[in-house]
Amino acid sequence: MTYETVIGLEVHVQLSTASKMFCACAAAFGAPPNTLTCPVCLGLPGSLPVLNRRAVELGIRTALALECRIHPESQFHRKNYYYPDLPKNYQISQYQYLTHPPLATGGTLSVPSGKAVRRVGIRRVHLEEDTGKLVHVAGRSLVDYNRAGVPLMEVVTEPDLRSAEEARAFLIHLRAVLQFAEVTSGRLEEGTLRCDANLSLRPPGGPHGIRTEIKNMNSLRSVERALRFEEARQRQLLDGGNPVAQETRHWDEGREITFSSREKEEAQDYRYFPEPDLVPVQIDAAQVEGVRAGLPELPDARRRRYVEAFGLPEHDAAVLTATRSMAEFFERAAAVLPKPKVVSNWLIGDVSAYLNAEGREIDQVPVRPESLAALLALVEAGTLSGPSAKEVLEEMLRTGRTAEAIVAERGLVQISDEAMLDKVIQEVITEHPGPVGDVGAGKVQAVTFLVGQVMKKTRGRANPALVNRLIRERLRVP
Amino acid sequence: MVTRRLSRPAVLCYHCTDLPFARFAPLAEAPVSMIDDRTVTHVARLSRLELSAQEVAQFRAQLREILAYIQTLNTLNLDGAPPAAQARPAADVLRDDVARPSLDQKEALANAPAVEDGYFVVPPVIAEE
Amino acid sequence: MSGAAALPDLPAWELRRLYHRRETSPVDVVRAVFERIDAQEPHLHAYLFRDREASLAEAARWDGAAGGDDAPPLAGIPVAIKDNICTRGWPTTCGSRMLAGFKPPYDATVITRLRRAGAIIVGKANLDEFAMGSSTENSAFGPTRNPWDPARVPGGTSGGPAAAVAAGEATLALGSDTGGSIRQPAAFCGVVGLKPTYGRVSRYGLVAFASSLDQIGPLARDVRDAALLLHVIAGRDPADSTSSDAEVVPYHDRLTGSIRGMRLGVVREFFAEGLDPGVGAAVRKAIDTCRGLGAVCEEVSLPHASYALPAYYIVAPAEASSNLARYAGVHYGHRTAEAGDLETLYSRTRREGFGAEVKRRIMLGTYALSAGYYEAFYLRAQRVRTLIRRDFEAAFARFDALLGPVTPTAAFRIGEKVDDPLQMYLSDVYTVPLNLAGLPGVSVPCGFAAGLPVGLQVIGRPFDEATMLNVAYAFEQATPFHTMRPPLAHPAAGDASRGRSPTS
Repeated sequence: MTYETVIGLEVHVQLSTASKMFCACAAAFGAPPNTLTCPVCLGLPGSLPVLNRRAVELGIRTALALECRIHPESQFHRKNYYYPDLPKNYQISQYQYLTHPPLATGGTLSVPSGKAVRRVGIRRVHLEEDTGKLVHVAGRSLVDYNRAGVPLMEVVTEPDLRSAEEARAFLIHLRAVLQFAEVTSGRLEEGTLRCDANLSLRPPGGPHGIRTEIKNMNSLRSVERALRFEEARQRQLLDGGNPVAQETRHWDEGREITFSSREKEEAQDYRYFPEPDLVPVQIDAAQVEGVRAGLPELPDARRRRYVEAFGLPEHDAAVLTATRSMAEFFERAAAVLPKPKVVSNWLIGDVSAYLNAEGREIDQVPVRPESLAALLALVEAGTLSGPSAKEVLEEMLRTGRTAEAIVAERGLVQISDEAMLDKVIQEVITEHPGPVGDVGAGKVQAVTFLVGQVMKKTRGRANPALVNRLIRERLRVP
Repeated sequence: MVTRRLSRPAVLCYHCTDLPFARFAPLAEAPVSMIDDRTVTHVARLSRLELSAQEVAQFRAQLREILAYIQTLNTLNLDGAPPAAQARPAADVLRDDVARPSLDQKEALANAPAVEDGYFVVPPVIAEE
Repeated sequence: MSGAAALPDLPAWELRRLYHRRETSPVDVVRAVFERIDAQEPHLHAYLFRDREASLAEAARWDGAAGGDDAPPLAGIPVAIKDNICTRGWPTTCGSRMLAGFKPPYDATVITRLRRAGAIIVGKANLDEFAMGSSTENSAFGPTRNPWDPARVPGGTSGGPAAAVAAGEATLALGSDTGGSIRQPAAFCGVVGLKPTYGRVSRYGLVAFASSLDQIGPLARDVRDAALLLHVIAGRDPADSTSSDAEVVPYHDRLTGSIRGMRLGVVREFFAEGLDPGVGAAVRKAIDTCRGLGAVCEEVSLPHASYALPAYYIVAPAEASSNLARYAGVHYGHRTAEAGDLETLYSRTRREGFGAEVKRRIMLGTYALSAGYYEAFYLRAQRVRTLIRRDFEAAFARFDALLGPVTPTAAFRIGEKVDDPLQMYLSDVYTVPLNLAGLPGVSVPCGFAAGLPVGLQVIGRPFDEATMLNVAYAFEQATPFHTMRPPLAHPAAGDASRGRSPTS
C-alpha cells in the first residue's frame, strides 16, 4: 500500500525586539536568572499587558513576506493551562475562532526545490508571548522567568508538505526569508526558531489520516530525521492494520526515535476567550504600505540580483542567500574585492565546510568580510598560493587574526621569484629523470608530478601556476 | 545541571485547537442535569482545586442552582446582537519598543515560597518516557 | 461642626480649607483619625493593615505645604485603600489567605496619583476575598461591621472602605466595583460611592477579578469629595490598555447644584418585585425631591434589565477563573506545606488559600469556558451585554441621567445570606447592569429604612461623570443626609458624642 505523507509545520519565531511583548523588560539572553522581570511578565497581582508596537510591525513584515492577508482588526486570546514556566497560568496568544481572526492568514511561501518551486500554503501568522525556562535538577525543577513574555510569532503552514526533505527545505527558506526581513535572528540551535510538526499518512487522493504532533526537534537535522522516523513508524502501523493514535510525540535525539509522552487521556482544554486586558490590534492600509516600503530585500530578490548583477550561477546564489548573515558577508567582501565568483567559491567551499563542521553561522566566527577579501586579494595577486591560503583561512576562522599577520608569521608568502624557482626546478629535474623523460615522450601529466615536487620542496609556497609555466618552458613542452 | 526542553501540555481538545482537522461540536444549551459529581470533579481538576467528597456534593448543589438561574438567558432572542465589543478607549495603546530597567533579582524573588540560586523552586516537572 | 473632635468627620474639601487657614494641620488630623481608629477598630474591623508611624511621617512631610496656595489637591487628607489595590511594600492581601503577607514591589497607578496629590494613606481596608461577595463576610480575616448597626454587614466587597469613611476612620477611601462593590456598601453605610465609566480610572495595580468589569472608584462623605478624589485618579494610563484618553474635567468645579430642566429617567424595572418597601419609599421620595428641584423625572424602561444578573454571573466568574489561575503556589503567595509533585502543589495550595465563594466562582467560570460550553455561556452572555448596552443608549437618547435604587434591601444581618450564594448574588440586581454596560454610577445617601441608610443611584452617560455628579450634588444639597453620621458606639477620648439619630 502506498501512502502519501502529509506534513504541516508550526514554527515559533522569536522576534528581534529590544523589549518584551507586553512589558518593557529587555528581550535579552544570558542574564542571571530572574533579573529581567517586572510585575507584568512575572504575572504579579494587578499587572496588565501593553502591546509592543515593533512586534506588530514585525508581524506585518512577516505577513507581507509570506503574501498573507493582513486583518485590519485582530484580537488576542488567553490560552489557559497550568505550567510552572507560565507566570499567569495562561498565555496571551491569538486564536482563530469564529469572528476573531489572528494577525494574518492565507499566505504562500515558494520554496526553491531544484529547478522547480514548491508553493506551501501559510495558514496563519500570529503573535504571542514566550514562556519562562525550566531547569531540572535532582528532585526539583527551577524556574527562570527572564524569557517569559519575550515576543513570539507563530507561523502555521497548511498541510502541504509531502516529505521530510521538503519540510527541511521549507524551514531553511522560511528562516532565510525571516532573517532577510530582519524579523528574527532565526537560529534553531539557540531556540530563536522552533518547530513542531504534524504528520499523517493517507492513500493518495484519499481522506486525511490520523495525525500525530511531533515536538522537541532542535535542529534542521532533527526535523528531517524525526519526520522520516515518524513517517516510517506510521507506515508500519498502518501496514500491520493498526490504527495510528492521535497523540503528541517527542523526538529523542539520542535514541533517534519519537516516543509518546504519557500524557493524561483526557484532552487539554485551553478555554480560549478574548483577552479583556488588550484592545484589538488595528492595522490600516497606510500602515501596511509603510511597512512594505521599508521591507528589506528578501532572499528571492537578492538571489536574482546576485545572478544578474554579479553574474553568479543560480546554485551559488541560492547557497549564498540561504542565510542573511552569509549574504551580507558575501556582499561586503565582494565590495572590497570585486571578484564575486572568487569570493563566492571560497565562501561556498572552504568557509562553509568549516562552518558546517563547527555547527556555526558566519556571523558567529571572528572573521570579517574585509579580512576574507584581503586574503583573497593576496591569492589573486599571486602573493599566496591556493593551498597556503586554505591554511591561513582556517586559522583566520578560528582566531580572527588577519591574513597579513598569519602570512608574515608563518612566512607563507608565495615564491614568485623566477630565479629562485628556477633553482628548485633544476633540482627537481635532476632528481627525477624518469618523469622528465616521460614529459619528453609526450606524457604531459608528468608535468603535474614535477610541479608537485617543486611544491613539496618549497613547502607549498611556490606559485604553482608559475612553476608549471617554467617547467614547461624548460622542458620545451608546447 | 541538566537542561531539558519540556513538552507543552498536549493539544488534544477538539474545539480548542488549530490543528487543521478539528471538528467543532458545540452545545446549543447546557442542560442543568449534566451537572453531576463527575462534572464537578472534572471542573475542579481543570481549576486545580482539591475538593473533598463533601465539597463536591455541596458545590454540585450550589452550581446547579446558580446555573438554573442562568438558564433564563436561553429564552432570549439574540439575533442581531454581536458579542459586546471591547472598549475602544484610547487612540494609541501600543508601547514603543524601548527596554527599561527590570526589577532586581531580590525584588522579583521577594514573595517567593521557595528560592534557590536566583531561581524559583517547584517540585520536579518530568516528561515521561 | 468644629473642634478637634470633629476632625475625622470633616469632608476633605473642608479640611483643605482649614489647612489653608492654618486652623489645623495634616499631623493633627491624621493623629485624630488614628485615635478614632484605635477606638473603633476592635469593633468595626474595617482595616487589615495600618502603619501609624509611616502615616504620621507622611503627614509631617505635608504639614507645612498642605496649607500653601499651590498645595496639591489632596495634600494632608487621610485615605483608606481597599486591600486589593497594590501598595508598594505594604501587604496587599485581597482579604485572602492566598496572599497573606504578600507585599507588592510596586504601587498601583491610582496610588502613585494619590501620593503625588499629597494624600496620606492610613491603611488597607477589608473586603470580600478577591472582591467576590456582597457583604465583606467572605474576608479570610473576619467581617467588617456596619457602623450604623454592628450586627449588620457594611455591604461588599468594599465594606472596609465604606465603613471606614462612615465611621471617620478615614476621610476618603478607594474601593473597587465589578458588580456594585462600591455603590452597594456606600448605600449600606450611608456614604457616597462612585463607580466610574469603564476605562475612566486605571486598573494597573488593581488585583483583577473580572477584567472587563472592574473599576476603582472613590468613597467619601459627600459628592464634592467624591468628585475631588475622582479627578485625582482619573485619566489615561499607558500601563493600562483599557484606560481611556477621554478628557478629564475638574468634576468638583462643575458642581453647579442646579438640575432645573434636566431630564431624568426613572428605571421602571428597578422598582419591580423584590424591592423592600422601605427602601423603595425612600428612593421614590428622593426622586420627588429631584422633581422639586426642577428636573423632569419620567419612567424609562430597560427591557433587558432582568437578564443582567445572569449574564454577569457568567462573564465575571469566567474572567475571574482565568485571572485567579496565577495563584498556584509557584512564585508568590501561599504554598501548601506538603507538595511532592506539581499537581498537588497546585490543587492543595488553592484548596488551602481560597475560601468557598472564590472556589465556587472559579468553578462556575471554568465550566462556562470549558470545551463545548463557550458558545452557550460566555459568548451568549457577551451578546446579552450588547442588548443591555443598547437599552441604556436608547434611554440616554431621551434622558440626561437615570435614577433608581442601589440595592433591593438595606443592610442585612451578618450571617443572614452567607450560606445561600444565590440569595447573595441577587442583591446586585440594580448595580450589575452598569458594569456590563460600562457606565458610571454613584450612590448618594437618600434616607433611611427602619433606621438603616438607603442609597439613591444616579446613572450617567459614558464619561459624563460630571452630569451624573451634578445630579447627585443637587439632590444632596437639598437634603440633610450627607451631614448624618452613625453614632459612635466606642468614641475615642477626644470624640464628642456626634451625629444625629437617623430618622426612619
